[in-house]
Amino acid sequence: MLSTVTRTVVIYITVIAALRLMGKRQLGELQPSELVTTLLVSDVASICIDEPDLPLLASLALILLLTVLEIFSSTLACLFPAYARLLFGKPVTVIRDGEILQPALRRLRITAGDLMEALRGKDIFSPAEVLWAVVEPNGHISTATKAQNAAPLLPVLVDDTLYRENLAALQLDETWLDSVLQANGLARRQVLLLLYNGSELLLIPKKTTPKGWSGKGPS
Amino acid sequence: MNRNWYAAVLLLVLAVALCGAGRYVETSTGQLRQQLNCAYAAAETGHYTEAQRAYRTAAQTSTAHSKIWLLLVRRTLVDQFNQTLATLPAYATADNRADLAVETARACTQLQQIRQSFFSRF
Repeated sequence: MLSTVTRTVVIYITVIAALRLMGKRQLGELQPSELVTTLLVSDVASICIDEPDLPLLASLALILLLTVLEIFSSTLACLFPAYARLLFGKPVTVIRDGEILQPALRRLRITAGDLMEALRGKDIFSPAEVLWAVVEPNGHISTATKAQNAAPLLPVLVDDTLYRENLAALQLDETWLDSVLQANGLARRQVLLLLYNGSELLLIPKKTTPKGWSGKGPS
Repeated sequence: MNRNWYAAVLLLVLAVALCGAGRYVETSTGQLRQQLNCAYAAAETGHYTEAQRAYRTAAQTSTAHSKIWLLLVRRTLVDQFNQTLATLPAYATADNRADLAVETARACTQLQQIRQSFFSRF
């Protein structure tokens, strides 16, 4: 009995420390890899509390190891956009200008019923009301309705990821993108965020760290 | 980026703790195996009082190591080993040589299982 109490206290403190160390990302909307880490940590913790036969240090080591892997993985995702794409995936546009993009639904294995349910959750009752809807990597759907005054800024280039479908939706191509970047003296890899809605442009270049690392190779 | 340093330090601490624990398990199981072999050799040569003393010493050593083993290996393995060691001094007599051989072999296997519980990879 006493060992169970001690184990519970030790595991409680360790899991709180681990989640605190992983940061606020772990407490909000979870990306797939973060969900896996959280599930594994909770499973290891509960098994350790339930099974006094298992050595305490083994469970603690596993929880701390999962924490370390999650921190390194999220850092790698920040430094290498390709790894981030692999780890988190990319948002996918499912409705554009009131029209459901059916190939995207098939690719995401989302039924029209699922989509309508998600829209109703946002008080939208017809896809025709939607200017732009996107399924985020964490599974949530973000929408901009036609009732809103300004057209939403669509991501065109985010952290080395080019959104060709948004370029096409704006009736633009990569030549336009390159000319915009050239006018600003930037290469694609030097762009943190480039959003455009046909009239308004938001361009944020990557800042180099004090030691000169900008998370990219020479462009 | 501070979190990366914490993670690196944590990883280092884990690696050191794992190496230290492995070393401890290796040394302690080796020491006990040696004590069991010496005790059994004494019984084989007819020095039963010396053998009983050696088995008791092994049991005391095991009890001392058990506190750390319980953090590193499955509790049931440690408990079974200690139970076997508790019976050994009583078997170290001229009338129980066969039983002593069986129980000593059992203790050696249980010790091996404790070692494997830590070192086995899969």
